[in-house]
Amino acid sequence: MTPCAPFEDRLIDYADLRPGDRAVVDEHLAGCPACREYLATLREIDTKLTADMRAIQLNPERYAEVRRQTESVRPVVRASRLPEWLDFVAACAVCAFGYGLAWHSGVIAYLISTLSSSPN
Amino acid sequence: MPTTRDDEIRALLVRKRFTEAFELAMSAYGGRMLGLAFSILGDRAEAEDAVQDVMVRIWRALPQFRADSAVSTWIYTITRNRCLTMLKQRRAHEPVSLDEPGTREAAESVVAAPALESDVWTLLGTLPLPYRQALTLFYAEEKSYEEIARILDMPIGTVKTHIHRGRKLLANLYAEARSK
Repeated sequence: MTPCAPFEDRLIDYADLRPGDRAVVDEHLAGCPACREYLATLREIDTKLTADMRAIQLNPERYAEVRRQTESVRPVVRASRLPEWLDFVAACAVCAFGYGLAWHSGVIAYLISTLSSSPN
Repeated sequence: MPTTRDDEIRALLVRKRFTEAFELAMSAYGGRMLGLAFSILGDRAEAEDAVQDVMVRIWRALPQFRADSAVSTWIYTITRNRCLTMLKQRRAHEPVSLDEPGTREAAESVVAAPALESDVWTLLGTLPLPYRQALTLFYAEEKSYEEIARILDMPIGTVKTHIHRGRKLLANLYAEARSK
C-alpha cells in the first residue's frame, strides 16, 4: 500500500482540504485503489486512537489517594488588594455624592441654621 | 445555561464550588491527562505518578484559574509541563549524554512496552516526543490546532507539521505491522 507520491500529503490532510483541492483528490481516489487503501488506513488509525484515548481510565486507587490528599489541603486563594481598594473608592464616591446632593437641596444649610438657633 | 463540561466547571468555579468543579474536571479529563502523561513519559506507573501529582496541584490552583482559556487546555498544559519536568529529571539520571548528536531523539523515541489499549497506541509510543504529544492531544478531544498550539507552547504551523508527519509515520508503521 504505497499511495501516489503527489497525493500522499493531501490524503494525510484530507479532512482539512479546501473544497477545490478535495474535488481533485476525490477524482483521483475514484481511479486509484492504492490511495483509497491509504486513506482507509489513515481513517482506521484515527478511529482506533480516538477510541483508545477515550477508553483510558484512571487507576481508582490512585484517584482515591488524590481525594485523600485534597481533603487535607485547601485550594490556595490568593488575596487581592484590588477589590478592597475599589471598595474604599466606591464608599468615598457614595459619601461625596450624598453630601453634594444634600448640600444642593439645602438640607445641610437648614440643619446648620437649626442647630445654631437652638437654645443650647 | 451551561452547554459543555468546560462551561459547567467554569460555572462552579465562579460560584467557588471548588470540590464539585474538581470532581467534574477529573472525571471529564482525568483519563486523557493520563493518556497525555503516558505519551510523554512512556511508562504507565510514572504517568500515574505524574497525574496524581498534577491533580493535587490543580486542586490547589483552582481559585487561580482565569477564564481566558478552556479548563481542559489549562489542565493539559499543567500536565504536559509536569511531565516534561519529570522527563528532564529522568534524563539527568541517565548514564548516556543526551547532548550527543542523535542520542536525544533516540531517547525521546523510546517508550516502555506496556500498551494501554491497542496496537496503534503501541505504534504511537514509538514516534518522537513532539509527534506523540501533538497526536495525543489531537486524538484526545479533537482539539483545534490553536488549542494544541497553546498547550504545547508552539506555533500553529509547527503543530500542523507535527501532526502531519506523525500521521504519516503512523500510517507507514501500521501498514508495515499489518503486512508481517
